[in-house]
Amino acid sequence: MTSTNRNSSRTGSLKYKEFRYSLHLLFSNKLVVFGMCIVLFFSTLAIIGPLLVDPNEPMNVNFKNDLLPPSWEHPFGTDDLGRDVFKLVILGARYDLSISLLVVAIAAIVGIFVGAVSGYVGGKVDELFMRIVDILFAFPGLILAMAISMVLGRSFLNLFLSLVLVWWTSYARFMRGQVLAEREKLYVKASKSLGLSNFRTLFRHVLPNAVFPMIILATMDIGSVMLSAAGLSFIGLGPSPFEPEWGTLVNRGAPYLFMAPWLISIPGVTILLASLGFNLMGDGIRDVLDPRLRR
Amino acid sequence: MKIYEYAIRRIFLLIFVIFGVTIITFIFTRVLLNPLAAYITDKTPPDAVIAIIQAHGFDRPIYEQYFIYLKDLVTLDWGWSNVGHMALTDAIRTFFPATVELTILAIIITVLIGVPLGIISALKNNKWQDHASRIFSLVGISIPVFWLGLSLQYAFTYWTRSIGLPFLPSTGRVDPLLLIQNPVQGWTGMLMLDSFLQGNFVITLDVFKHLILPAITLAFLNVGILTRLTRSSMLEVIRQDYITMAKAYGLPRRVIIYKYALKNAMIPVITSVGLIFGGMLGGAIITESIFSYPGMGWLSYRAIVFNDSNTILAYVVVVAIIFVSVNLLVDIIYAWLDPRIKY
Amino acid sequence: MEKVLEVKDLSVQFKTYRGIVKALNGISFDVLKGEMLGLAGETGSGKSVTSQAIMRTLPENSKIAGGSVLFEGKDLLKLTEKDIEMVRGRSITAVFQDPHTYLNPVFRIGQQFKDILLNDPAISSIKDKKKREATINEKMTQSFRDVKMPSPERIIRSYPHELSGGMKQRVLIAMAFSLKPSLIIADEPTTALDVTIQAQVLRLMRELQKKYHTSVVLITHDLGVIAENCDRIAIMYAGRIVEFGDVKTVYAKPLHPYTQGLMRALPRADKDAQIESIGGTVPDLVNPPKGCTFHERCRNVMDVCKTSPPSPLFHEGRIVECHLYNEPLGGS
Repeated sequence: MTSTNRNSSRTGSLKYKEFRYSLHLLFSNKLVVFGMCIVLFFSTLAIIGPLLVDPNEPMNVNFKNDLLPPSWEHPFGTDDLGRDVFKLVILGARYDLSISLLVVAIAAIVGIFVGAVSGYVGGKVDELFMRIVDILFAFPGLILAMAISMVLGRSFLNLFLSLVLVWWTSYARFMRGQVLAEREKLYVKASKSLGLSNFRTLFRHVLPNAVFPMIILATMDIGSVMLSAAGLSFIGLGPSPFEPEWGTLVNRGAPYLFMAPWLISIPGVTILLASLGFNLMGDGIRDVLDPRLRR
Repeated sequence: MKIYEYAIRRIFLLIFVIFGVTIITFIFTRVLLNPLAAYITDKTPPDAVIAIIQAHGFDRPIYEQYFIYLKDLVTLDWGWSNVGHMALTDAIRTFFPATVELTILAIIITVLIGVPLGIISALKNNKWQDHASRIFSLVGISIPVFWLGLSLQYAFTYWTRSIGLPFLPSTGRVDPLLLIQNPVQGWTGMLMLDSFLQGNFVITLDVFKHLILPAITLAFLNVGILTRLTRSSMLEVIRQDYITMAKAYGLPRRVIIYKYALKNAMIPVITSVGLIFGGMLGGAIITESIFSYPGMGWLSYRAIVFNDSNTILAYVVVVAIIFVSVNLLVDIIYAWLDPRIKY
Repeated sequence: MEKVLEVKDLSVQFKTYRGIVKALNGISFDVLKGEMLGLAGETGSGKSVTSQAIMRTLPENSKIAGGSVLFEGKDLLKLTEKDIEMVRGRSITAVFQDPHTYLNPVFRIGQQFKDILLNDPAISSIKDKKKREATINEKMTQSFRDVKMPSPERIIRSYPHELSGGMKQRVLIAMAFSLKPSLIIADEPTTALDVTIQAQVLRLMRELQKKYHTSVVLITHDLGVIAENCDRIAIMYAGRIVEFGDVKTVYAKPLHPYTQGLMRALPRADKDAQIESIGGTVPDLVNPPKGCTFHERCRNVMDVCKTSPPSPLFHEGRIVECHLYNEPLGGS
């Protein structure tokens, strides 16, 4: 008993060392730190944005001020409704960050659950779930999301729903694969023979092992969900113009491309920076957590 | 198992998936949305409506309606496209070849840039070439397609023109006047291919000028994806024992990399090209709307603007069927390339 | 006898996150023409690093910290990448541990073999394509006969996954001997094989080696294999060669306490003596112990062992690195 305790504490400290080393690797990569700074910056904006600028700016329509070029008063100019683009972009952080994080989080949770149940229970349940996933995979993601939000109607919530409906499948497939692989391993069989219930075995043993790769997958996805959401908004399936989501801003600015290019470039670069931040971070985390890439 | 047996089994699976696809589109078009919308226009006389309802079985139970829907799909009785001002099947025949042409050019650009860049990146691992290509591909996967398209449009059709440099056409597929002077027969509907085959190079060049910016826009994200994939695949392969062995047995580096490592590394890359193709058919909606390029994507964009869900769902069915077929083809190529594969 | 390979004072280091790993610390040995030299030691003692250093196939995070590898009068460590390519395969080649991973899975055996044979100027210089193909085919068939493969034509058309492990290892051996190199480094060539096949494969290598007067460095942790097949033995421990001499001499009376430990760990048929293992573990090569690297596990440890590292001595017909033999007989 004491010897196993000592062993486990030793592996515990080893794991801790490994973890500290991983963190060290993560923070010694300049690009990753840069990505983290971007993410931190936009997260801060998303949280305190409405305190920095007037949250009613999207409603502040003033046709006398329309399409003003950048100036001291309006650092990013004004849009066709005479609203200050700088304020709109700051307020938009809340929409774009929340949709990309929430879509990934909910899709991952749904996917993990479906995949885990499918992989563990097997049989008809597995067959049913995986055929559904197969069918959803037959549509390119953006097309399916577009069709769904078209059917549901234009709103921020429906945009979110359509993206979740598209995104959960890849997590489910991945999780199922992980569960099948882990299930084969001896220790699951061993814990079964110890009389643990199926449910507990699943959650105590399989999940922790499969969770790391899922985190990598999820971090890598945040950026592309953000781009998809903005893309759908751009083609007109996003929220109303009074919700300053960045893709919606570009959509409104597009007709004025040659007259007022700042209406497109400012929110466009903002989306680029934000998704770049998440992608840099995701890349770094993958490099660190995937030992095969560690050199 | 022989490869054709594998192919046959995969085709059965494909048929099943297509059934599933039609169930979903059926639910969208005939259950969630107004099924009549596709068969009625402003000009339909009111007394004809009942006949239409009966003809398409909109008054029957749901499960019967599904089979009627399948029959309509197979007999190409798809209804009317409001934004296309023509029957949906005609709209697809008219607009889809343009999208295919754009997508093919974009795939060619993606592969021609992405694969070599990924290989260089892997071979020069952690040198400046690698860092440059990694940053380039990271930006590639982070860039909003619509912003890239608008920026390219601004730069190469407006800005270069304003400072007196050569410029590209900002919208459309071909100069209509030029097309009247040099008519092209519609063989495949792909204007660049048709004009080229008919020796009408003036049009070929003009279509290419119209295509190049949309194709770059559509390709950019995928170049990033493919570069990253090629890089990691190649890195994985050159670390394999059989590469060490080829080295130890004195094979020249050229042969090791470009013959042995490349074939192994390309296997996952080829699989992803199928996925990229599907992604492009979706991305075409954004790209074509920016450049007013008259393909299915542009028509779908107009359908979104004018709330014509039938046109969109028709495009969805077509894309899904093409997408699963391409993926089937890719899987068969995969099995043929990798002799280890278990069918 | 003529020396084919002479390794002098070779040191190799690896850069890792834990610090610099001193994988090889000034090892010296030579390989004579037509002999089979056994290189023995535990995992992590530096056997494989030695072979990689000789072939110049060390991974990127490594550095050759000193020494030389003389082969046919040239220092291999000083050759350009192009020149070392000319040496590999033609003059020095290798047989590896796991035949399953050392053949490229997506090419037919014949294709892979052909590219190796094209290294031979005598073959690649044949202009006529038909004639060249015929020569290559003949050569492949001959090589497969050498390793006693039943139907060469079938093997040539096979993919690696269609062959068994033993077959694959024979293919690799056939490839290794096909260009008649003067040195073959066999890194644990039988570890991944079944015991019955191990003996066959080793016998095969022995035969081919005699037939073509090739020198072989056989890397293994199995002292039994060395006893049966090798002429001389070098025992490695923690990046050093601790004992180096004729197999008969060393096995009859091992001098280094580590060698003695290894011998005691061998199962023996002639005595009822118990199998003993050596206590402790291989030292950490990032922070190797001061003095002799073996002193923490040594039965005969003395005070001097803890402070100064021993230097190689010529003693009782072999080279040994141990303070035990320093005092009574004096220096080399």
